[in-house]
Amino acid sequence: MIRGEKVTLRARRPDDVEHAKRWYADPETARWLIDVGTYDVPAEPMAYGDVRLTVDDTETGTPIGTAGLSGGSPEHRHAMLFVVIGDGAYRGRGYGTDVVRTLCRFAFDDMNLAKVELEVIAGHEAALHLYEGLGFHREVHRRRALWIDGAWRDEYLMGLLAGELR
Amino acid sequence: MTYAGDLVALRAREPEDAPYLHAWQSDPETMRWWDRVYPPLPPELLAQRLASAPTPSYTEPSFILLDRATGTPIGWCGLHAVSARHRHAELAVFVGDAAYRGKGYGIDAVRTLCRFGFERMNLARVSLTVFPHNPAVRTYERAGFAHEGLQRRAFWKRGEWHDLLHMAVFPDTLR
Repeated sequence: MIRGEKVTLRARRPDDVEHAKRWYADPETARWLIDVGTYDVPAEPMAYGDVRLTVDDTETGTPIGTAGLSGGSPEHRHAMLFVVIGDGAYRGRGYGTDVVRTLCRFAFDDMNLAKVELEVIAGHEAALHLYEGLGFHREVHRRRALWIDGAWRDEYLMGLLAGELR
Repeated sequence: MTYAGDLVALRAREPEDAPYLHAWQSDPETMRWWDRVYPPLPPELLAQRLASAPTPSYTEPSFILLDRATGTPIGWCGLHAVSARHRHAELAVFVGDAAYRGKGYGIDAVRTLCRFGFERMNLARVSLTVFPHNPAVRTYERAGFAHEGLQRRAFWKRGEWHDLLHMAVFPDTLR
């Protein structure tokens, strides 16, 4: 378990799948997902290259979304962060910020990563604002990189080096 | 199956390519700009893998680069991370035979592989990453690739952090 100020990040459980179905059925959630996958509950213990978590609201114990670090590379000491606050009632209230900050601290302090990266669809201003507020830099602007809902969209690759987290 | 440019031709990898690939992947000058971390397989084991390697396909369009005039293997090129939904792939290429460097074979390989991606595979975008101080940056620019940004401290090589430059080209910007 990884504790933030408002959230707890923990290993996924089989009963999270029902929550995930609700999250991904919400158009406001689905709109900003780059890849819609199944909500896998890994049978193996979590490892360096594949950290997949469920986010609980610590106060109530309610699952509110998912987050994780994928593709962790030991040679290059970076990984790709993903986060979804699936429960609309928890958006715009600082939960997402707490999840990302907590996960970055885990990446730097416990996994000894040197950099955390993430990808975001251009136009997702709330997410860009959140990530930049935490210290992430827009490093790469991929033009027409994503086909989403019948249109080409740009994508940003953002990066945060250890020591830049605010 | 071959796919030809002006100076180069692309064909499927064959077991007979193993000694070439092994020599190129062991050559510090070729690998100076490459992202390989660990030494390659010995040629005999590499040949076994190539014997069962799939022919170039949508998911693995990987080719041996030939000098078109003589048929001599001179390098390797391929597309990877192919996404059908986003009609996108990443390009990688090296001219392993030093006698063919600085003579236009590299840019012809880049153009030919991009054309293969656009004309045959119906891709909408081809991107790549390159060390920013690699002279190949100029080659990619000449082929029409635009700079998309610098990924900071992205790569650890020979005891140092390196940035990676991201570039991309589209069917209407390939030159």
